[in-house]
Amino acid sequence: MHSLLNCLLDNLAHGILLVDKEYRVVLWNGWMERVSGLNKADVIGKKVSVVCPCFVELKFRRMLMDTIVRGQNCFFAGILHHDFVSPKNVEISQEAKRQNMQIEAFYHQGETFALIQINDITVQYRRVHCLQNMIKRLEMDVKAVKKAEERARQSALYDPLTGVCNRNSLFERLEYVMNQAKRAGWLVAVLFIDLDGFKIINDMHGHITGDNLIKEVAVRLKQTVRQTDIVARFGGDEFVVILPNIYDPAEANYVGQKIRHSIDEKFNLDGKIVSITASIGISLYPSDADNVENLLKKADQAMYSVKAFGKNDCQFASTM
Amino acid sequence: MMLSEMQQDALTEFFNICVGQAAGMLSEIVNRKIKLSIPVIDLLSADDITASYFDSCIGDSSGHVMSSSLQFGQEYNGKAFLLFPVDQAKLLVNICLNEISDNAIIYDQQELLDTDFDVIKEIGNIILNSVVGGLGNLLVTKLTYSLPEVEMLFVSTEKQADLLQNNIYAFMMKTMFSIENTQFSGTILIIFGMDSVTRLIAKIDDMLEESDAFTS
Repeated sequence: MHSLLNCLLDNLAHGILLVDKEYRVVLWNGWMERVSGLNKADVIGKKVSVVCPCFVELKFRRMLMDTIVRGQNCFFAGILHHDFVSPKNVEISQEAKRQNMQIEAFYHQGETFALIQINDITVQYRRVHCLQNMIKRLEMDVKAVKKAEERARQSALYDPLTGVCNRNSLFERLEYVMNQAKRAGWLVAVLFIDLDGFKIINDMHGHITGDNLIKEVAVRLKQTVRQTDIVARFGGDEFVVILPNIYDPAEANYVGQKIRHSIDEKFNLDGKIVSITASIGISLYPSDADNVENLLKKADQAMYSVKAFGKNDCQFASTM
Repeated sequence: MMLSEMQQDALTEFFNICVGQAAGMLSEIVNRKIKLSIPVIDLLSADDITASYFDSCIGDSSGHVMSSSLQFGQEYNGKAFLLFPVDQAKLLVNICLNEISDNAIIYDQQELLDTDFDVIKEIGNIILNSVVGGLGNLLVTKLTYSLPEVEMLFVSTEKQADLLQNNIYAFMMKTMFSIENTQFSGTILIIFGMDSVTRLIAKIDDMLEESDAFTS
């Protein structure tokens, strides 16, 4: 039975080391022999700090003492301390080895011992490391997907040149605010804005200047209206501004004139001073139309009417 | 059972010494300068520890706390816990492993890996050994200790009831850990039977009397 237990101890998959109160090794199992390269016969009776050099360090010696004197149990994590029994094969890197160590008080026939158990967690450590890297990669993939989604959402809803709403989202938003206005009893104003003589500026100064002018016009439009109002680029040099909740048509005219005056101010485009004006047609929901297409069409017609009568002005569809 | 101001002060001083020793050992083990603040101590009965009180001690971590615990026995018996909200436990592990500066992704999430549990086990072991060992010294008695256990607790009302049955008292010590420029909070909870608490307080009273006799 005794030899069976010894055989069992020697075949355990972790290190077992028993130390008496004089800090001398009493038991050194097969795992300890295999890993350290030190034979049982050479180790038994020797001071533990001689055969297991980690106990030269004060912190581990103190813990061992606490176990023997006070009965306290200790645990040391391999992720913090690397290893406690250095491998006999010096070619194996210290970095690569990870061991957990557990020291507990062990009492037998009135004697106190410290039972030291060492587990090799190198494989587990590597697996955790792989898992961490996998989590990092997944996080990065998720971030990349989210960024791509955001970019797709931006290009689906916003005009890439100016950053204001594009034609598609204009239709959606106008429908939404019309529904809201219907419930709340508000008016919705649609201001159709076309720049006067934009083609001439494009031809004279080039497309880059033309694009810069479009961008600056969008900036001025956003600065002129409230945050709750909607600015959209309809296409080319055409913009639409929606005033979602007004009570009096005069408010729409007031905003239209403000827009006209803001565009009337000279633009400085990379040192080139450019002047332009805007013609604005205004339609109102529900009096001019009760659907998106007709409301935009009425505002567009009003804008053409302004163009026909001298440009640089505002006109309501209802006065045509 | 209520603590007088004198008893409270004496216990605070006593536990502060234990916690100070633990900080010294922790610093040595993890090779970082670690400070633990003077703990704020409460003696509570099972009835005192409501869910909201517990939340105030461990912070809002959606009921999940990282617990490192060990049982002690012999003349005095009970169980000592070191509790961290999960995010704070992760932060502590990352600092100990030098992973804080370049690993914001892992810091953000609250996932704890096996090796993180080992680090918490070792830290809890050092702190709880120091505090419980200090109690043994104070009461001049030898205690037996279990090996530390680490688990993720979901602190539901039922779980608290399990921990704190009738006639059970708990010393709850809130302390702030400070490692380099980072601070985080943890709670040490020591659960005793009523007899053990009564004897501990009697011992404190003896010490206070001795101290009075010495000074008057």
